[in-house]
Amino acid sequence: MKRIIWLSGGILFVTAAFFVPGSTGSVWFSILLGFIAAVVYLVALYTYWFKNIRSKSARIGILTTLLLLTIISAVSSVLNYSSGRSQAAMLATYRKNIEIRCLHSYINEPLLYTLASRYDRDGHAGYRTMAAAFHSKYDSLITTDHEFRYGENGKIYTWKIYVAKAHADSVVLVGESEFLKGSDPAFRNFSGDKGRYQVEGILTPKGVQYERTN
Amino acid sequence: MLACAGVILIGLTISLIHPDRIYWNSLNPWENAYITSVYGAIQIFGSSFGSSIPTEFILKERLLILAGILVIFVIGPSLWVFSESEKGERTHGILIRGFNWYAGVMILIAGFWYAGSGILEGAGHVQMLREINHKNQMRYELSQGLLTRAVQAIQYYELPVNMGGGGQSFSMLSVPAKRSKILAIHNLETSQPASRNVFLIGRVKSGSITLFAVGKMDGQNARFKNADGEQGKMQLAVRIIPSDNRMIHRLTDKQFVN
Repeated sequence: MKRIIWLSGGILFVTAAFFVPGSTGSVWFSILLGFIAAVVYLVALYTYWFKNIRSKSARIGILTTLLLLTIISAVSSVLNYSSGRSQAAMLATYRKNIEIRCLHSYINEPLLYTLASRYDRDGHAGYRTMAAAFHSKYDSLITTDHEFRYGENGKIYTWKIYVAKAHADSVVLVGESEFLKGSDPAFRNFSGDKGRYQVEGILTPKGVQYERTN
Repeated sequence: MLACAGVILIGLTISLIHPDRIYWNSLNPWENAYITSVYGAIQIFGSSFGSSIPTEFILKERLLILAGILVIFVIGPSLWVFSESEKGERTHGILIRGFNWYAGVMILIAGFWYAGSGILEGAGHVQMLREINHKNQMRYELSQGLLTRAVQAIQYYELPVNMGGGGQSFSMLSVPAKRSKILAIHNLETSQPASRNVFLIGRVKSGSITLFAVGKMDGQNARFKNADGEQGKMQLAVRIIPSDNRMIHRLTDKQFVN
């Protein structure tokens, strides 16, 4: 009976510790708490049953084995934690790179097409102004709140592009990520949001300039 | 009796949680924890594209981890300690062990196996991931640099000659055959500080141009001849055809890319 109480008590104690962070929190925090509870249980188990263990060699054997198991398991846990973190960081980097690359393409492309339609082969202006060249190609993609829905075709993206300026000698597109944070958390984005990653593509008669603004 | 109950309990637990995962390693808490954390990362990655892994799956993995910890740190050691405190029977001078003892020791051996393999795999993973991550980041930077040059090349093509462009032609970028392989793209350079990567002009036609990016890191094929004369380095290439709907074409052929 005493053994069943010990065993079920240990199971309940470790299970309770494991679920302290809830069932949706970090799995590693659950493991850490579960592991600590398990070590506490092992210490209590060994201390309580110490006198009942028949031989001295068995006591030493059990103590050494449990110590070794705890140490090796802790090392294994730390290594797997680092490995999991590296994998997560790698995926986060990929996701970030995809976002940056897409914004780069989706801003540069329409500006280059605009530049292409601005001049003909002999260098004569095809359109009177940059704004005219831009609007003639993309007017239907610009919403009333300046959003530029280039290349969307019904797809949902995690970034937004805005037409910040369309003047005679320049067109400025602003790209804003809904996924990435910018370098300055206090930065006021074009959409009115704060601290998001933002880039700017500026088309002038000299060409396209592309830069990160946050 | 305790051991029998324990073994039945373990079997039932796994079959209820994950019926398709009844195998030797299914109770390895370290491996399951690694899998769960990777799924968590994929969840974050996928959610930004609108896909997701069911939370039920992650909860099941979590229960398997708990089952593993309970078996290795509570059930196994308890059975062993209990059996060592029993009065053993001796037959012909040999101590006869009960079923609890064997079950406890077997579970502890499994615990050592799990932890040991976790150390080997964990260490291997960390090293491998570092290398892959580094290589991918290098490739990304190289490709980002190439894309920037590609945009500049299109811009050069589109601008009239009197504004420093090519007047809808790349012909003026043609270089003597002897120099073409090692020519730096002076007129396509960005204001960014010089990186370790090299960008080169390849084949030039009036309406198209090929650009190469050669990194300092080794590529997949050690015998590959790079555009700048190096051997076996990472290389990417694009062909730019401004008159096309898709102006920038990524080249994937093995003769261009490494």
